[in-house]
Amino acid sequence: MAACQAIFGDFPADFFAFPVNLAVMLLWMAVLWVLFREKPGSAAVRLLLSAQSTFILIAAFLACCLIQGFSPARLTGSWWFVSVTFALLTHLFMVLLRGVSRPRPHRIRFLLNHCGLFLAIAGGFFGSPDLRQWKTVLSGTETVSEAVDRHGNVTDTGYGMRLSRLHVDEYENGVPMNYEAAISVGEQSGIVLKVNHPYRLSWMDDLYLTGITDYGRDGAGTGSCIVEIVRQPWKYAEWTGILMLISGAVLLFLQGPAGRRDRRTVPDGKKEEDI
Amino acid sequence: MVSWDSFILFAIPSVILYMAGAAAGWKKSFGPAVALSTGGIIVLAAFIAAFWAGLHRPPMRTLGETRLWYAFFMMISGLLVFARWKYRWIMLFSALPAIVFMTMNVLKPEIHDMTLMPALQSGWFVPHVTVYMMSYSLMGCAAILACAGLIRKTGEYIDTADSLMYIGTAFLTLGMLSGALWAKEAWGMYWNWDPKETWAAITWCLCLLYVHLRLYRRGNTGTAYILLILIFIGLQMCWYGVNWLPASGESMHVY
Repeated sequence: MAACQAIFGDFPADFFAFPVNLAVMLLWMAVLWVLFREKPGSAAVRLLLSAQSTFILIAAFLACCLIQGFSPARLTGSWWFVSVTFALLTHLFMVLLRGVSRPRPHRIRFLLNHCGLFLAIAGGFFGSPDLRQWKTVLSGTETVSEAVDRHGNVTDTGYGMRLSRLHVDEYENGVPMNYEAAISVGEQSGIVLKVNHPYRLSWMDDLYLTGITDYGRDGAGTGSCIVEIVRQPWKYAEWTGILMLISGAVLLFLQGPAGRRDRRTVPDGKKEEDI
Repeated sequence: MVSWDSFILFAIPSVILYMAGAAAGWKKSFGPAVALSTGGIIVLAAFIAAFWAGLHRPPMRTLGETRLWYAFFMMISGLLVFARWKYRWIMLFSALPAIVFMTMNVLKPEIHDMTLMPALQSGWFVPHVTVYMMSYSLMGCAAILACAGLIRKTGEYIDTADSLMYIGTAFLTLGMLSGALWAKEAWGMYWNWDPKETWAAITWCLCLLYVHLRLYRRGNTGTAYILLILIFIGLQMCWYGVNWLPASGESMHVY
């Protein structure tokens, strides 16, 4: 990992943009499923399903988060972070396969929490190469069809955007209370953007009002607004995962700790990995 | 109209009532303990409600305002643990952080104006903050139990700590995920690895480690107690410690 990091720099996420990410994900899941079905007693499967793997991988992910937590630099694209996240996803998927195939206490809670976590992380992990964010400034009556990404690259959006109206309400001390921008995008007009209220442009593109500049003191009329275009085709996997995790958390609250009989005790003559 | 200046008028009777309840609990007088401490909580709740009405916004924006909520939920959690598990000392110890935070709010008042930046004007604001504060207080009680268990060298508190951690982890998960859904609405991404989000992930991973450690019965109770204390430290980092880190300047969680 250290060598990869030193030689190549961060993980080449762009190489895995659609459809490569989808193909890799499906292939990886198929391999794990075949391994689980056909070689359940193999050392690899036993290792992937062991409690030690759970502890080590949570601890490793925790360590990565801790390093990120103390570092001002963004480390989530490093080979270390990507490898640990991939290993964690692999373990989660195997544990899910086992959980689906066998009866167990609190089964629904288990499935909601583990499947939810898997979808939330996998959606972010495999979806990150397809994630795009562009910003553009709309001002006056000028039609804009270019936007800039995080690296400063200019892209043609394929449609023109124009600011029709900017309205700002202020507190008595001059701090903006709320603001909204009416814009037109291509042939669509009368689109109202507000903070916390994105506009759904397509199934994978959303428009966000992220800031205002230069607005008139009367709170209306001339001014500029910053619009962000977010393209996130994998957001549905993340959203589903989050909703499942929320349901699992509610069950965690309602059902409480696993009873003594539910705990992963080791039966006579069996190793824990067999449970 | 109730303003921040009135806080001390509510804080003193609230603390007196709650401490009287804690003292009654110490003497194993269950009824008076519950009644008095409930009275203390109601007084603080009355201030929060009146302050909220006076501000025309939820009092959850500044660090001082979240300290107020933490004190409030810490008192509730202490009372619930006492009522459920009958530890006669728990309310005294849960009152300590509540009193410390209320004293800080009296000695170091912040500017509590009516302004609320547009990003905070969301339906997610109140549930996100209150659920988080509730989980912090539950885990605060679990950390108190862990300290007691380590000092007295006993494993008798671990089952109670398990219950608190399951409920606390459920609340922490709800707080974190409500934040993720809100972040998607406000900033376009469920997760940005913002410093606060990173520390939320750290704390959550520690909770997962605890839950799995206890589920698989690995490590002794001492290890579990130490993990509970680490979780509490992680929560403090996530709550306000993150403000002192080098990356805090780039955080989107600055209000």
